Amino acid sequence: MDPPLVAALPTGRLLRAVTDVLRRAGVPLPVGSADRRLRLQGDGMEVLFAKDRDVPIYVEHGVADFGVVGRDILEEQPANIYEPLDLGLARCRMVVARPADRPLPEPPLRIATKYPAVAARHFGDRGIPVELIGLAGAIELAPTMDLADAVVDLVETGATLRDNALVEEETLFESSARVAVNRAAFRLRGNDLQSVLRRLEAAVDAA
Amino acid sequence: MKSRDPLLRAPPGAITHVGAAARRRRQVEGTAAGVFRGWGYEEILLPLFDHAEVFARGGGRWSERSSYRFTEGGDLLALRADFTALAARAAATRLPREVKRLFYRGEVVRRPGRGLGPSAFREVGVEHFAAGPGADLEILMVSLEVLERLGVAGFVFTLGHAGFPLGLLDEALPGGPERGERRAEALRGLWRRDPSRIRAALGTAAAPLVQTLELFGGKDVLAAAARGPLPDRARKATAELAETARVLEELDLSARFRFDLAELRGFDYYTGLIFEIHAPGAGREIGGGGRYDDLLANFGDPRPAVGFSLSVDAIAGIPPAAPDPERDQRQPIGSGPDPETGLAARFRAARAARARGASIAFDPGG
Repeated sequence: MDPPLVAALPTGRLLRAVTDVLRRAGVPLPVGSADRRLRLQGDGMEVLFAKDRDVPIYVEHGVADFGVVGRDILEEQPANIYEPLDLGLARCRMVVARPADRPLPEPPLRIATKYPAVAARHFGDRGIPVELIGLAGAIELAPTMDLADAVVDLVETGATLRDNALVEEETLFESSARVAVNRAAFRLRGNDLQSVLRRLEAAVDAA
Repeated sequence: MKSRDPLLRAPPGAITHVGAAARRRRQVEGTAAGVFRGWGYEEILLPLFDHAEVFARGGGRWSERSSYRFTEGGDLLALRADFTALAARAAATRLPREVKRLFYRGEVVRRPGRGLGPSAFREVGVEHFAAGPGADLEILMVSLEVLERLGVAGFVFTLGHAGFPLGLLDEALPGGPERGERRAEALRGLWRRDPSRIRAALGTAAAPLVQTLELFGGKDVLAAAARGPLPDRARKATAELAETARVLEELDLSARFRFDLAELRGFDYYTGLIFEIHAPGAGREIGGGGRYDDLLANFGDPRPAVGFSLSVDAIAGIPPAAPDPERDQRQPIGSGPDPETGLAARFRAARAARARGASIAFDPGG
């Protein structure tokens, strides 16, 4: 008999919504919480709890058969995986934002971001020279303190931008949580994975 | 302890294998080479570096961005990132036309895509400069035999045909200046099996290509694919795959083969058959290949070609079902309960054992 499928789920703000949709889809999640244990084993499924940026890595290497991850992360660090289903969860936008009272200056632009690859591609493709400033969080601070002219960041409601007197200049892409599938597992565990994907698709359509 | 001594520090990706890991890799290479020779393939030893242009014209997955490039005497050179480009160039420019079957083994070096994974990979593979379903089936049989002889358990071939998705894609694409960008985005969507990208690229014309993502499984998907109106190129692809499926069935090999009409292996490079091989215990493909009839034309010699490569590291990385056979089967010489005394006596015993073909554990003494 085949071992249970292994799912890599992202800890953090997305986890609650992801486990909800998996439950609604009737996917047999093991019982327990991600508070302390990083790995839960059940009869029908094993779940790994990983940092969102690490989910595609677990999936690409085949440690997990599938996972759930935001498009923002897949754009920043493309992985050699399948992305067959958009769960439509955690919808947000990748934007260029600047101080409301300060239009973008003539290039070169100083851009602060947690997504240097996305930002480099965006400005590079348009021939706009930039200096990229990689930050780990609280990106909105950078233009406020004049560390950067603008930011490239993920925006959900826009409240954080407004609170820090930033306005959206441009949308790069819309992001939401997707199912990522290991390419080998898609071949070797095709029936099991299809069953999970079909149920998830039905649960997403019903929502 | 941290070391500043470059002799002690190891850059990521610089990997040394010894013992069972080294033996298994050499066994994979040696077994593959034996099978290739047995089918009439001639080994070609290819250079470790060449003009970067050669790899760029190879057009495969591993082209300019993945190679290490450097200048020498004003020329832009690159470390070997791909064997197929080198073999195709040699065949097109240097080898007699009668040489139609080549195989290679060795390492390719690629820049780490995202700082992950090793940057040197061992590969074995073949190129066959011939057209037709017989040549397609031949490389399937050759790669199958390698995996059978290596005892790889549970491996599965997935077959596709470039003409199916590309035929549908080119019909669905609107004209205009954005055509190239839309095509690239649709190909990325196919590569990721992501219907939303295909829809974003093709709009209302996306439906046939999106439905292609469902066309994988046993050979009944070929019948499903052939239903309804199709562009000529896609129609021809389903007929070729159906013929391949029929022969595999007659050979009683159907159990090893699946079909997937959306598979392009990520790039617009194949022109006919495409295949990938997976096996339990390997999280990534262990091999793959297909037909690239436009490749040799890039080197000035338009001739058909089909080929595949196997990842020696991926196959060697599959946990073995049986213990490593070479260990513990050595005949001790010069030690044990009745040790030979004197170097001449020891070496006489060693040479006699070696003449019988035995592996020995020779004790050279103090």
